[in-house]
Amino acid sequence: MHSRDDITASDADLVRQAGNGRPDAYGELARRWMPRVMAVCHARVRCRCAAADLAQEALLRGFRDLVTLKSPEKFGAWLRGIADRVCLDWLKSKQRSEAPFSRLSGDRNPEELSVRDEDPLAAVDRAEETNRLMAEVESLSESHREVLMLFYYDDMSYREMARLLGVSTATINARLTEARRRLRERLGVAEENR
Amino acid sequence: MSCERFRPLLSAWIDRQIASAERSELEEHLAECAECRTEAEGLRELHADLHRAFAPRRAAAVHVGERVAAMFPGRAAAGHRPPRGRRREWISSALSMALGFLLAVLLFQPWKSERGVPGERDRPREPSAGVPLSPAVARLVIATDPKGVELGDRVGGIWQPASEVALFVCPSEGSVRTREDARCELLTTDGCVVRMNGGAEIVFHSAGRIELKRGEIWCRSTAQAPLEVQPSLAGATAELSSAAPLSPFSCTAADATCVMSVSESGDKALVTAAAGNVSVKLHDTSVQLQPRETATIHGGQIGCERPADRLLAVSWMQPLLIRKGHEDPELAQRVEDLLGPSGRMDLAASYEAEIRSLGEYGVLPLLRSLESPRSRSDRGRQLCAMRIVSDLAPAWAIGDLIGLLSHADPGVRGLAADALQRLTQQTQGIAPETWRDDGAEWEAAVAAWQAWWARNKDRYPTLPSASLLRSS
Repeated sequence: MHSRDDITASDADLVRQAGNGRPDAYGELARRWMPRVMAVCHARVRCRCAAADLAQEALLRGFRDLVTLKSPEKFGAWLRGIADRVCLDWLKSKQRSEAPFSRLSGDRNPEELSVRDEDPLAAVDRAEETNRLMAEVESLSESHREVLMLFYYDDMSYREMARLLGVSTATINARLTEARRRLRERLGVAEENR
Repeated sequence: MSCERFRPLLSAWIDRQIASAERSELEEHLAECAECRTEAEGLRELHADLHRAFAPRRAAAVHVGERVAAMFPGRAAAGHRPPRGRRREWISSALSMALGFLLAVLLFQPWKSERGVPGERDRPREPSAGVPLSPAVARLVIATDPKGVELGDRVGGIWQPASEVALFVCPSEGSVRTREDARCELLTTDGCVVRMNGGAEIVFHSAGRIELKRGEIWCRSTAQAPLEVQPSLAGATAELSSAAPLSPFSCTAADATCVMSVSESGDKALVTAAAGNVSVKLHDTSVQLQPRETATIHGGQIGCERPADRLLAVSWMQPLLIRKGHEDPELAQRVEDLLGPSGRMDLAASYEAEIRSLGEYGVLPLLRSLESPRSRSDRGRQLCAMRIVSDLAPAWAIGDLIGLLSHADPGVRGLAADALQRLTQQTQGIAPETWRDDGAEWEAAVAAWQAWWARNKDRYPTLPSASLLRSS
């Protein structure tokens, strides 16, 4: 993971450098933002296997349209908007393309559709406990799972998440607290501890 | 009362996101309150579990981030490396490249090549009117429309369509141009391939030196024969002569593939490296392009351009690949590349449209890709390939489709059954939906299909070979 101390240029600086034809600025933006965009995509589509491809698509689409970004300071929120649209397209397209197939009908959890997807770490993910926990995370409400995923994908600080999502740090704390409370409840941990 | 105050802070405390004053107060409370300590312990356990559960996701994110970053040159973070250093590095490697090229040109002396075009030696040279008797440097391999490809005498300004030339051989200093709706492939006597998009014009100064007057070309050079392409830019072109440099700019490819175009206004050239060593030179300065990197030549400067999608950028070559037949390895590779990774729906839709535009020529590569290791480990990819096969497969694929009825994946079986019904109007009593079930019913039906095929296969065409296609 990228250490915050290593970051010498702000997002806005990197966006400006990229706009000036500095290809390495794109590379740095990709490294910095991929985990966050992946978290957003994972939260949107609730399918961990599709998240990587969707995040890559969102990032490349963002780079393509970078000239349209008027305020480089808002790169993160702007990119999140692009990721939202990419995910929405994917969800719509998935519905369309898979509707005729009885085995792949829409009443199945999208996660199940991807059990055979290539994933170098699939073996780890298959561990029952991890799967159960991840399934519970994915079944949280969107606002809760987004904050949780941003935190665990990239160790984002509450302040960074607040800026990205356009809310206060208190809201971030409230969402994370509630997300964890629900997870413990669903996983039965809360009952055991009483 | 204090428990109510501190409980909402526990999450932030575990995440180390709490202000120091509040932290001290909370920790004092925890030291006294067993109930809150238990709660905190439970949260900490959950945090550890979540951290562990997300570890593969974090690793995947880093991996994908690096993959995207690798599409752009300069691996170091912005600000970590002074731009001047990078430029020096480029210039240094490009200078070596230029020296290597110079050495190769001196060693091979392509302009003195006496090698004729295969088959040409036995035939009397019948130059067309206006085309000078210079050594042949390239021949026409394939064209989408021979009437749309013309061979020109640069001195006399006479152009003749390929369809009217007995043997379309381009001499040194000869020109080739394509009409807007025609594309062609040329092979130089050094073994380099040059493909021309519609509306392009080139001049062969030698087998290893081409001038791009307008339009877009794709070139593949060999390790033994580097190819130098010089864009003919407005305001930058010197007097044309085979001895003097044509333009202050040139692009050199050695054992490489690249795409070059000159804008309609003629003031800008684009060079995209697809593979191998490609360098762009301006006077004494040159830059080496990494694969998928695009350089612009404009206003006396070499600059960088955002790379276009490498597969979609050369869509125009598909009609040429089709004409090489179903078995063409380049066609197979293109289909394999276009299938790409599953999940990238935006590009995937464009890629799928590209494959579909190949029509039945995409079917054989798709059938082969179904069992490739990449498709076997990616169900989305495999189903995408099969969906296209199901829609486009012609009658010669019936045997293959019957084979796919035994495929392990129910989606593939179902799509094969759909295609078979479309092609033969037969179901062997089994509805296509049934093939998507795991029951034993379909296993018995495979035998029925095989028996039907044994009785009927003589009625259906077999896969046309490339040689048949070329002669037709």
